[in-house]
Amino acid sequence: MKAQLAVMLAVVGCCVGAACTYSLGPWSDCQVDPQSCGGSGVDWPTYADCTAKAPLQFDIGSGEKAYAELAPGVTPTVHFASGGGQGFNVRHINLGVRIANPDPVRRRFRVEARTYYRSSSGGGRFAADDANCTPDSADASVSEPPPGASTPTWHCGFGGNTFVVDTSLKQAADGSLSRGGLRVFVHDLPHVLEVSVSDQCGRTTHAARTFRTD
Amino acid sequence: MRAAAALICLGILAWSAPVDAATANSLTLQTLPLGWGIAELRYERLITGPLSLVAIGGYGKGASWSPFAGQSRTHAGGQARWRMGGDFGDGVSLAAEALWMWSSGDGSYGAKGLAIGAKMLAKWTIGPGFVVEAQVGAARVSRRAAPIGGGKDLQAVDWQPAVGLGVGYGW
Repeated sequence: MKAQLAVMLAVVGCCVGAACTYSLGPWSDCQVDPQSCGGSGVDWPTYADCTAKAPLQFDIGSGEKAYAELAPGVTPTVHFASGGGQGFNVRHINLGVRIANPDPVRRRFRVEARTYYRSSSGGGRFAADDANCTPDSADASVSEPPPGASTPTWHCGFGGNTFVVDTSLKQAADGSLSRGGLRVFVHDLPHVLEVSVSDQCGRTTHAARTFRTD
Repeated sequence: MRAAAALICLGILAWSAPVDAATANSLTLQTLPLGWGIAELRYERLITGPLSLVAIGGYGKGASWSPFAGQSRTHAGGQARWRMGGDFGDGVSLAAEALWMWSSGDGSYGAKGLAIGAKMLAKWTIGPGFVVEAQVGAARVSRRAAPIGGGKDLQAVDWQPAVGLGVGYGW
C-alpha cells in the first residue's frame, strides 16, 4: 500500500512537471535585460558619472547563446526557424557583440543592427522596404555596380533590430563584455551588416561587415 | 550562516529527543537530483508520536542537461513531518519545509534563495531497514542573483513544485 502511494506520488509529481529540487535560475536573457528579446521604448538617459577613458570599441560576432568570433570571410548562419514573429520570407541571424572598454559602472548598451541588400532592379522582394538608404560602410568590392547595372541600388532590410543589453553580458578576464543570441531579422544573408553600440556615457561607435559581394 | 546554525540546532534537537520506538532514524539519498549532478541526503529523526524532524543537505555541480547547468549548487534546510497514518517506518506524512540555497551561477550570476513550502510524503520500509520514500509538494521560492562582474541584482519570487524519491536505511 505504501509502495503504491510512493510510486503514485512520484508519478503525480512528474506529471505536474515538478523538478527534483527548487531552482535558483537560470535567469533568461529576456528576464534580465530590458530589450534583448524585442520590444521598444526603453529610456536612454546619459550619465555624467562615467569614468571610462579609453574609447568604446566592439567586435561583430555571432553565436546562438554566447558570443562567437566571426573570422574574416566567414558569414553567419541564416536560420529559418519559425516562431518569434517570423513569417514567410523572414529569417534571422544571431548577432554577437564583444564590447571593449566599458565604463566600470554604466554597463547598459544599446545595440542597433541594420542590414543592407543590393539589387540591380530596385524592386522585387525588397520593394516593400525602404529603398532610400545606403550603407555608410560598404567596401569597394560591394559598392561596384552588379553586372548589367549602371549603379548599385541599395535597400534596407527589416527595421526594429535594436537591443538593450545589460545584465546578460558576460565579462571576460580582460574586462570586455560579450553577448550572443541577438536575433536580427533578415530576408536573406545581407550584403552588409552595420552595427552601432551606444552606452549611457554618451559614447557611440560603429562597425560593419560585408558578407556578400554579388 | 543562518542555514548552518539552523541545521545544527535541528540536528541537536533531533538527536537529543527521547524516543521509544524500534525504528527512530532514517538516512536517505535523493535519487532524482543525482540525474542533474546534485547529491542530497536527508536524515530523519523521530521526535515523539507522529512528529519527526529532518535535516537536509545537498551539494553538486549541475549537469549540462539540467536546469542548473554549469552551476555549483549547495542547499541546506529542514523539514518538520507530521505523520497522518502508519508508523515511522511505514507511513504517510505532511511536512513543512525550509531550504536555503546557494549557487555559484553559470559564469554570469551568483544566486541564493530561500524556499518555504509543504510536502506530502509516503515512506515504506522493506525487509531489514531498506527505506523508500516519495514526496511531492511545492514551495514559495524567493531568490536573488548577483551578476558576477557588476550590475544590478536580480530578484524573483515564485511557486515551484518539486518531487522527490529517496532510498536509504532506517534503524
